[in-house]
Amino acid sequence: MNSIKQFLARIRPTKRRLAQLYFALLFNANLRGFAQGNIYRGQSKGLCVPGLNCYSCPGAVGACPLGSLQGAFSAGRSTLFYVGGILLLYGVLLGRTICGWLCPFGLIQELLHKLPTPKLKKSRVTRVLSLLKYILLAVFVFLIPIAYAFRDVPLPAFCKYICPAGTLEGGLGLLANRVNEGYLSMLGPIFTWKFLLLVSIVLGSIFVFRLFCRFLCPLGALLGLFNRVSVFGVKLEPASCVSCGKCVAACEMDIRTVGDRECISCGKCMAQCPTGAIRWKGVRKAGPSSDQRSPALRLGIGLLALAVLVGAVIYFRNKEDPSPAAGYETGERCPSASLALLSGGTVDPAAGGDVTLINFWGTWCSPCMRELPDFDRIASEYAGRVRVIAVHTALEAENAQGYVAEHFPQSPILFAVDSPGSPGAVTDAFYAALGGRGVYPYTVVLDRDGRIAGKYYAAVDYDTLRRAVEALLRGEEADPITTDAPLAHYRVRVTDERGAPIPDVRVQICAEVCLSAKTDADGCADFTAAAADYHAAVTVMPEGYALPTEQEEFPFEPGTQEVVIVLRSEAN
Amino acid sequence: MNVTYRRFRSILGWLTTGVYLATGLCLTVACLRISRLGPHPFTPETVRAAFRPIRFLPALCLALSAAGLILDAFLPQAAPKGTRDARRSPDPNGAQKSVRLPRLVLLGLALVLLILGVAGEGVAGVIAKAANICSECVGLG
Ligand code: SF4
Ligand code: SF4
Ligand code: SF4
Repeated sequence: MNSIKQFLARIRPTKRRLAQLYFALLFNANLRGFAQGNIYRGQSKGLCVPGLNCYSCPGAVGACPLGSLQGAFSAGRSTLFYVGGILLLYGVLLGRTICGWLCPFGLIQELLHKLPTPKLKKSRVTRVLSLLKYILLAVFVFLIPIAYAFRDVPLPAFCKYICPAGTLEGGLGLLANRVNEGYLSMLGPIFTWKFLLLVSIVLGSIFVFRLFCRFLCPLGALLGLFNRVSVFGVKLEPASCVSCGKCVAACEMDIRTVGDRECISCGKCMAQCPTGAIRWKGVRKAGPSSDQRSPALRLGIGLLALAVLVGAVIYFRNKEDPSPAAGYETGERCPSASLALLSGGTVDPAAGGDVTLINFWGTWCSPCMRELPDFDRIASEYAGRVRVIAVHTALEAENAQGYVAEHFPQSPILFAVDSPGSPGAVTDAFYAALGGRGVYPYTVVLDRDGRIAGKYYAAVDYDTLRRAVEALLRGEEADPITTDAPLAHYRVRVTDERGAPIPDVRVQICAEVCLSAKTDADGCADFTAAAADYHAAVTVMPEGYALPTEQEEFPFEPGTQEVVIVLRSEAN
Repeated sequence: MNVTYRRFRSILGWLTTGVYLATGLCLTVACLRISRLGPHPFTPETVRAAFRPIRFLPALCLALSAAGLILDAFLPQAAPKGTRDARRSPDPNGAQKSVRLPRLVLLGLALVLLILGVAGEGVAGVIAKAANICSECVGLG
C-alpha cells in the first residue's frame, strides 16, 4: 500500500510540468492539422508564441519567434520592429522563465531525460559548451540571414541547417501524414543532415539534461540575456544567502549563480536552500507562494486555464481555414511570389485570372528546348486567356537571355529571371514549394484560381497542353501525365585521365526528361529516375578541363547503369 | 532484497541505454543508406524499405523505459548526489544591482518597437512566413 502511495506521489506532475504541458497544447491547439497533414493559416499566425514552437508544425496556431526573427531581416523594417518588439517584451517580462515553464521543445527534452538511464552530470566542460549557443545565435540567426537579406535572398540559416524543432514538428509532423508523401521526393541532403542532427539531439537529451537548451538554442541564449532584468523569474536574496553552494549543486543547468543567464527559473533550487534565500521575483517572502492561496482561488485559476485551452481547441477545430492551402499538391494554391521578368517587370504566378502554365527549363536540357516552341504556340493561340511563364533554372543561367533573344524574340511567353541573388529571382524555396529542382523539364498547370491543376514531370507536347488548357478553360480538371515506369538508379562518374575523381561537376542525364546533379567527392553523381535510355553529359565544364574528343553525350550501355566521363586536364 | 533490486535496476538502465544507442545508430544508418540513392532519394518506397527491418525498436525502447520507470518509482530514492560544482558558492553580490531603470527603458523600447511594427503592417510580414509551410524548417532546403 505504502509503495503504491509512494509510486503515485512520484508520478504526480508538478505545477511546472502541468504548465509546460498546458502551453505545449495551447500553442499547438490546431489538432485538426495533425489529422489533415496541413498547417494552420489564420490570423493568429501573426503572433509569435513565447517558446520554440515551429510554425510549420501542423498544430501550431502561432509563429515561432526565432523563425520570424530570421525572416524579418528580409521582410522589411516594420516586420523587424514588430518581431524585435515582441522578443524584447518577452525577454523583459519573462526572460528564460519561458524556457522553464512555457517552451514545448524544453518540455520534450525534459521528458526524454526522464527515461531511466544513467545520466551525464554537468561540469566545467558543459559550462564552456553552454557558450556555443551564443555563437549559433550570432552566426545563424543574425549574421547569415542579414548578409543574405542585403542580397534580397531570405535565408533563415538556423531553420535551414540546424533547428531540430523544425525537423521534428514541421518535418516529421507533416511527413507522418500519408497525404504528404509527395514531399518525400523533394527531400535531399539537407534533410538527411537535419534528420541526423535531430536523432543526435533526441538521443543526447536522454542522457544530458536539456542538451539542446543548454548548448545550442539561440532563443534560450537571447532570452538569457534578459534574465537579470526580467520581471518574472527567480532571484537570490543576498542578505539571507550563506554561500553554501547547495543551489548551484542541485541545479541541472550550467548556472554560476541563481538567476543568471543560464537559469530557466524552474524553482528546483528553492527547496535546497537552507535559508530560503531564493524566491520568486515580486514575492516578498521565500517559499512557494501559490500554496498560500485559498483552495477556491486555485481551483478557479485551474478551471479558467482549462476553459481557455478547451475553448482554443474547439475554436481551431471548427474554424474554416481562411485561405486555401498553398504548396505542392494538386488542388493546393500555388505559392505566391513576385517573379522578375527578363523583359522587365514582375509576375505573380498565383495571381489567378488566367489559366497559367509554369514551365521550368534550361538551355542545357534538350527535351526542354524541344518542347518550348509548343509553349510558345499555346501562349500565342490563347493570348489573353492563358499565361505561360517559363523559368530558366538557376543552375547556369548566363546564356538564357541570349537564347531567348535569338529564338523567341517576339514570344508572349513570360521568361522569368532565375539567378540566385538577383532581386525577384526564383528562389529554391519557390521551386521546392512546387516540387521542382532536380527534374527538367517540369511543368505546373494552374487553374484560373491559381490552384495547381496538374504537374508534368516530363516533356509535354502541344496536344497535351491544349487538352489541359481547354479543359481548364471549360472549368474541368486537367489530366496530368503520370509515369508508371519502374524507378532505377543511375550513376555518372567523372574522372581525369589518370582516373582521379573530379568533384563538384554539374552533370545531367537525359531521356524524355533531364535530371541534373553535381558530382560528390568520389566524382559520382547519383540519380533515381524512371527507367529509360538515358545519356549523360557534363553541363558545366569545370575550369581547367575539357572533353578529350568531340563526343558530348555518353549513353548508358544497355544493362549498365553507370557511365564514366573522362576529362582531359588542360594543364597537360 | 533492496540490493538485488538495485543491481537489477542498474543492469536494466545500461541495457536501456544500449538499446537507445542502437536505435539511434540504426536510424542513422537507414537515413544514410537512403541518401546514397541519389539527389532526391526519399520516396515512400525507399523510406518504408529502409525502416521496415527496425520497426520493432521503438516498442522495445518503450517497454524497457516503462520497466525502468516503474522500478524507479518503487525503489526508495537515493539522496541527491552533488555535482562537481557542489563547493562553488553563488555570488550573491552579483544580483544586487537595481534593475528597475534598465527594465523600464527596455520595456519602453519594446513597446515603441511594437507600436511602430504593428502600425507599419509588420504583422503581415510574419503571417506571410508563418502561414505557409516553411521549406527550410521542414528540411526541404
Ligand atoms: S525551424 Fe526552428 S527556428 Fe525555424 S521556425 Fe521552426 S522552430 Fe522556429
Ligand atoms: S532554450 Fe530554447 S528550446 Fe530550450 S526551453 Fe528555451 S527556448 Fe525552448
Ligand atoms: S538556478 Fe534554480 S531556478 Fe534556476 S535553473 Fe537552476 S534550479 Fe532552476
